[in-house]
Amino acid sequence: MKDQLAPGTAGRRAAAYWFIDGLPEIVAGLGFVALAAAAVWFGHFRPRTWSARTAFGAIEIAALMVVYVWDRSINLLLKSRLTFPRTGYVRPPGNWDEVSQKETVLSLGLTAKSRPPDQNVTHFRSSTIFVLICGNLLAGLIAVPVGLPIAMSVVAILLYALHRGSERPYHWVSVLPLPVAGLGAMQLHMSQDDNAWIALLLGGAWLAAQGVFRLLGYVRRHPKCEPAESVRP
Amino acid sequence: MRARGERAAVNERIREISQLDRLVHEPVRLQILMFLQEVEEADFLYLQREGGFTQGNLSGHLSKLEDAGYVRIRKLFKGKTPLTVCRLTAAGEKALRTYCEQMRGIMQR
Repeated sequence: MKDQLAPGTAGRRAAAYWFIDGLPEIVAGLGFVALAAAAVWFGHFRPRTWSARTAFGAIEIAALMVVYVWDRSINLLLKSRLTFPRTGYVRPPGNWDEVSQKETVLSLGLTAKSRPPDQNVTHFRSSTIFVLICGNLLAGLIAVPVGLPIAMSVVAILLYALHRGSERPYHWVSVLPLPVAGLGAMQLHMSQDDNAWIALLLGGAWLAAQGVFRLLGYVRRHPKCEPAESVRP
Repeated sequence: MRARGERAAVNERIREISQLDRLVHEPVRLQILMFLQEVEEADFLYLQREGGFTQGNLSGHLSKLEDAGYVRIRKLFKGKTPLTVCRLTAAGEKALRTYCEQMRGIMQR
């Protein structure tokens, strides 16, 4: 079975390659889960001890760093152990203008200029992560009890719509668990503030689950083999 | 008179084809160069998968491109994994650009 990489130019396939193993989704998803779970725990128990407050602060800062600052480094570290020995390493183009110029040269002027590849990491941040944070804010704004299911439905629709045609599209069935989980979480009768964090928790768990499914499929399709680099090119 | 003109055009085209860079013109090497032009850099294994090449075939063609100065090959480590990373050089990019312009000229006549 072939990997579900976006078709099109080599640059676009290289951009989609970043998501082939699901690791970016797992890292970001777990970061959100840690962030939201710590916030829910803190909101419920409101610990007064210095050590508990420090632990909460440390978890929140570490989770934010994982999602926004260290994500690329963590992904590269994991990919160097898991992905590169199996299917190789590629660095996609990093500049839109540069890509457009190159594609013009390659087309020999005979075909229409194709769409340049999306910027993989940037696009992931500006769509997936942005949408999950929107869900977090929306669930905090809409009054209980329907705030959570509405917010999760909006998140599901945005994730599906924004990723259509991107290097990592989500099938409508794969975003369906989000509103269903929102409906289920509504039964917990949490406060409005907690609902905001529950939305982020559900979104993060969903994202990590997407990554895990993708990772399992990838590992099954590409069992580890001896690296080709032993041959001198 | 017209036949002579057509013959001259054909001769001109043949002359232009003979001036193509044979190092670039070979299909596998052209594929490698075109791929490397679209990405920043790629390692041996990725190139092999992307183009469906055998190890020996890719290795031989990469060596020729490296000897010509069209491709730069580095051994580096990503974590503990050794990678043979290939990148198109400025000379390689220029050679590919020239080749594309020549081909465009030939095909548009």
